[in-house]
Amino acid sequence: MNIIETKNLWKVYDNEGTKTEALRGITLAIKKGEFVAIMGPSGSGKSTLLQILGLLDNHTDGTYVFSGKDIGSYDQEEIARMRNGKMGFVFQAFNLLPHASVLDNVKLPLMYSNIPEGEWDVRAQEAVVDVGLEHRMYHQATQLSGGEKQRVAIARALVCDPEVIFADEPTGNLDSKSGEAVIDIIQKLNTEMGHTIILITHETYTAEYAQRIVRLHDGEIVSDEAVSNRKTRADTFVK
Amino acid sequence: MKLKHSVQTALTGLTTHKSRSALTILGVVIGITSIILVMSLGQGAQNLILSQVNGLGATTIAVIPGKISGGPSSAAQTLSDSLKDSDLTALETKANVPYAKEVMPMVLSGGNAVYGNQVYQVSLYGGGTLMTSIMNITVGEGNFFSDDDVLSKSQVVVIGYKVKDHLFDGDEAIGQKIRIGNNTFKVIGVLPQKGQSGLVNFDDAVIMPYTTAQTYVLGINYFNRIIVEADTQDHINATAADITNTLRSDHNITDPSQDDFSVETSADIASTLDTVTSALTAFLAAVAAISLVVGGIGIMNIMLVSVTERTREIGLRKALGACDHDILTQFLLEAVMLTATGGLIGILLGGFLSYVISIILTSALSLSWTFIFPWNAAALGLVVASLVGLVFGIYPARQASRKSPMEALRYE
Repeated sequence: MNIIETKNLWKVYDNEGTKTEALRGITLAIKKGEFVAIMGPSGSGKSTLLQILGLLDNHTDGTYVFSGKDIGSYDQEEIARMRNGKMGFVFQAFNLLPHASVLDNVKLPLMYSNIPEGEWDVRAQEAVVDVGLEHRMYHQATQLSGGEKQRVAIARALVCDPEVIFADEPTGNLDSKSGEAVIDIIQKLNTEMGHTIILITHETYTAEYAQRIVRLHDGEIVSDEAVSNRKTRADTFVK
Repeated sequence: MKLKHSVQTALTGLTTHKSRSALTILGVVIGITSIILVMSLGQGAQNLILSQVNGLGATTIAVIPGKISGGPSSAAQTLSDSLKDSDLTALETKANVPYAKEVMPMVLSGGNAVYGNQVYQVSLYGGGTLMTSIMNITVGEGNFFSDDDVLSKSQVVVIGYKVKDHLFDGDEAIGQKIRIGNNTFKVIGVLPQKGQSGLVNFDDAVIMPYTTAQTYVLGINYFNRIIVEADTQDHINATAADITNTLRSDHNITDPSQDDFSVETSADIASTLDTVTSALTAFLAAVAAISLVVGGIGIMNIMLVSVTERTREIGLRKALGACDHDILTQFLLEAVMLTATGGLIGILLGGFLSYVISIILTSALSLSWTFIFPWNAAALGLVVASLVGLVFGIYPARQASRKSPMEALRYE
């Protein structure tokens, strides 16, 4: 079953009369439980695609069906609810609330959800444990290392138990060691917990943790193939 | 998002920038403080004045010469000679004014009192013995003049504290003679310091029998006031009406608009003063309210800066599922909580300052001032402060809520 289906998706930015075509007819289907990496050089439209798939931005033309329903029929409030309950985001810049504790950062999406308040603490704690940060539960976000911050962001993306997790260059601001730890956790979310993952990266090395790599160039899909020799963290240790 | 969590979120937003929040609300604090201060002092002054007017006696009626005019002390009234001996006699006649207990004429003037080579400008009161009770006069040294002094036009005076101080410079005043105009008067009494009574300050006063004043100082045969005491408060209106009728028939007046006198009860005076002080208080409060508007604009300015500065936070919250309405509520609550806090601080500060002022007025100036906390103004102030937050917060909050999550997240 496809969780995401796009047909001939276009995104045109109109900047004071200058039109920029960021996406030019993207047709893509992603199955539930898949781990897809989207690659491409900068300016290829990969971030734009992720923002549209993650309902952070509107597309100009074409159709986007999420979970069997055309998102064109949703109003702003429903889209906000979808972002909250069905999608999780991990950004390159972490985007944590700097003065809030790890636990409070993870709780943030719950505050906008319909999940009863009584469950918040337990859910947030579980998510923090899932990313291995139980010893940092009450630390302020500013006291954490980059890798830890990104793990908090992953816990935050997880806490509402979303169908799809969007990760936009999650290792982009990290050294290779913390980057590996982060990508390993993301892979486990897919293999062990069954979340659909859409990962944006420009490193082939990182992309090979996925099952499938979609390459973009100038707003078009240029290749879409399965990863034959999928990486896991164990491989890195062997090497 | 539930309101409780919106409040928490807003509170966190405010406490993160404590000094900025504090500076932002300063305008509102000052505005509300001044309003509370003005209202409290205004009501205090009103109470003081009213209690003094009522101190004149709820049964006191003043007959003032001249047509009813704008103010209580217009020139026409002082110059009018419409109240004569015949009026006094008519008013003293039981058949005319049955409830009148006492009738006392008064003459008022100013002039220089001289002793040796000392000259002092004084207020001159000519009255009867009734002055002691009606105007709450107690004599510090010596005695007040008697009814016999009034009848015999004795050249005796009771002088105020400052008059004694200036003319006698610490020497014994009782028994000495001071000169006013071309005649000399024996000092028989000195009033104690702070001869404050009713609306009149007797520190600068020279008081003598009205007969003496008419004959030896002013050379007139009319009165500037006739004070009538009714026997009970219930009869005050009836007595005022009796006085009016008596004087009209005495002056051959049929058309009430041609009255050459006016009759005022202390209730009339109180209501006039009440109107004046209320108007003054309202005016000052309105001036103070301007600072609230200025404060509100300051809030709007800071909130706009804050919205720009927190663009990424707004983007993040939206990405995590906040809808426009949640963001709007958060920023609006921040603004309202800021101004409401400012209002609360202003109320406490204003209350405290007016309390301190009331203590100063009571102890330093020995006024019988009572501290009044203006509950109405406090409640109104809190509402107005919150409204300022609401009105001036809505624009920045809308700006915040309309940001697209993607653009907001990209903002550096």
